[in-house]
Amino acid sequence: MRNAICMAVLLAFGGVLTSQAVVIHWAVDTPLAGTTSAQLVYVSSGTPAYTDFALSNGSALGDVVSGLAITPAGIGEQSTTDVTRGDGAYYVVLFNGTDEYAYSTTALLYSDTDAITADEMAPALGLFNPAGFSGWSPVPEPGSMALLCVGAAALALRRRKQV
Amino acid sequence: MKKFSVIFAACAVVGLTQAAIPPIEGANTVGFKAIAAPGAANTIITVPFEACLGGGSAGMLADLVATNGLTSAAANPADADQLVVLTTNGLDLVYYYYWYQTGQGWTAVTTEMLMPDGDAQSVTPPAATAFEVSRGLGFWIKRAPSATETLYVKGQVSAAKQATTIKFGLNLVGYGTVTPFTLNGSGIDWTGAYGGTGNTATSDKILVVAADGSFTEYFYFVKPDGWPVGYDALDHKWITKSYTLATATIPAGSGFWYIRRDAGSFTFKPDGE
Repeated sequence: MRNAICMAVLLAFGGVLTSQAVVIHWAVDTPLAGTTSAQLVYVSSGTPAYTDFALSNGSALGDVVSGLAITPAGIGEQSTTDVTRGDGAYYVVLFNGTDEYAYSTTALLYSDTDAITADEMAPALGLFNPAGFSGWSPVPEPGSMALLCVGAAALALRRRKQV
Repeated sequence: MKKFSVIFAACAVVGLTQAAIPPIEGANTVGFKAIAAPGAANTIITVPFEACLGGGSAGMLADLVATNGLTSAAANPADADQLVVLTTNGLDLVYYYYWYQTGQGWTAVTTEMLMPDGDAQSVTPPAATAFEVSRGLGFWIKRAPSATETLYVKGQVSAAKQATTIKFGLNLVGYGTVTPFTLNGSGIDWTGAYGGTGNTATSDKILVVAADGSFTEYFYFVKPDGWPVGYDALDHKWITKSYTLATATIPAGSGFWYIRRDAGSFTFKPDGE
């Protein structure tokens, strides 16, 4: 019974989220040289940052854009879905394939109606196209994190056996 | 004898009257098409028909959308199915709203449009019986929560090919035939569609809206000189945001947004008119 109630609440909550979805339209005319992929990131305040092997400030949204969408003329238009926000902003984060990232030096405000579609009957005509980016900064590999975790777990197990 | 005379006279009058009415002749074919439009959702539809006996002229909104199976309401438009047509008042794009009123049919709703200066401007649509809807024009149907899955459009089947003008900015259009439509299908003339600089951020865009309100975007791509061969197969095609060929099939009677990003207009010829 409790499970059924929880499921109903979750479904209702999911329905609310679905109905409040927005779509953010973005592209990049002039990405940094060496860009191999990109992603949209939401932050409630500050700028996107990576520490401890993960995005420490912000939420990554949608799929990572790569392949032919990184064209000789920039990154083609993307549409990324998010829930309705009451504050914060969106940044484009670039990756260069050598464990480095850069984020746009301008952001798209959560309430921008030119680039954010909130109503299917009124699609946005504009898009977020940041002109500048921070320099490349190192981003730790998730693979390294996994290796460290495995190593730490092995050490802990060994010590426990010795005790 | 008197009774016989009266009956004879009545029959004669009826016979003469019938003789005076010319029989309807011609090759008119009336079409009746079912379109999926679920309840509690907004769907873009397009009517693939013309006015009956109109000789190729556009039908009226009230005639084209059949009321079979629609949800009506006596007093509250929010409880009824609604039609929403994007049109222009000469200066701006405006939406005309109609609701299916019990006993009245499609009834116009006066709305207020917020102007850039903050003032509200009243928008009063023409009667649905006097509002022409050209074949290939798309418009919305907002289904009531209790609505059934299917609605019907009707009118005269036209053998004429379709040509729809696409203007700068937002356009609600569709393929005005009773067959499905594939964006990259053969025989479709996209001459005039804008491919921008190769970056889809500047090219023409099509939005196909799903029943849950989500939508999928497609972009018209023209490969610039000197680009890698990996883009060859996409040249002069509709593509996805990931730069793969669009494979979407739009059902007959369904419409879509066309966002024109180049100044000037072009003619959409889905059947290669």
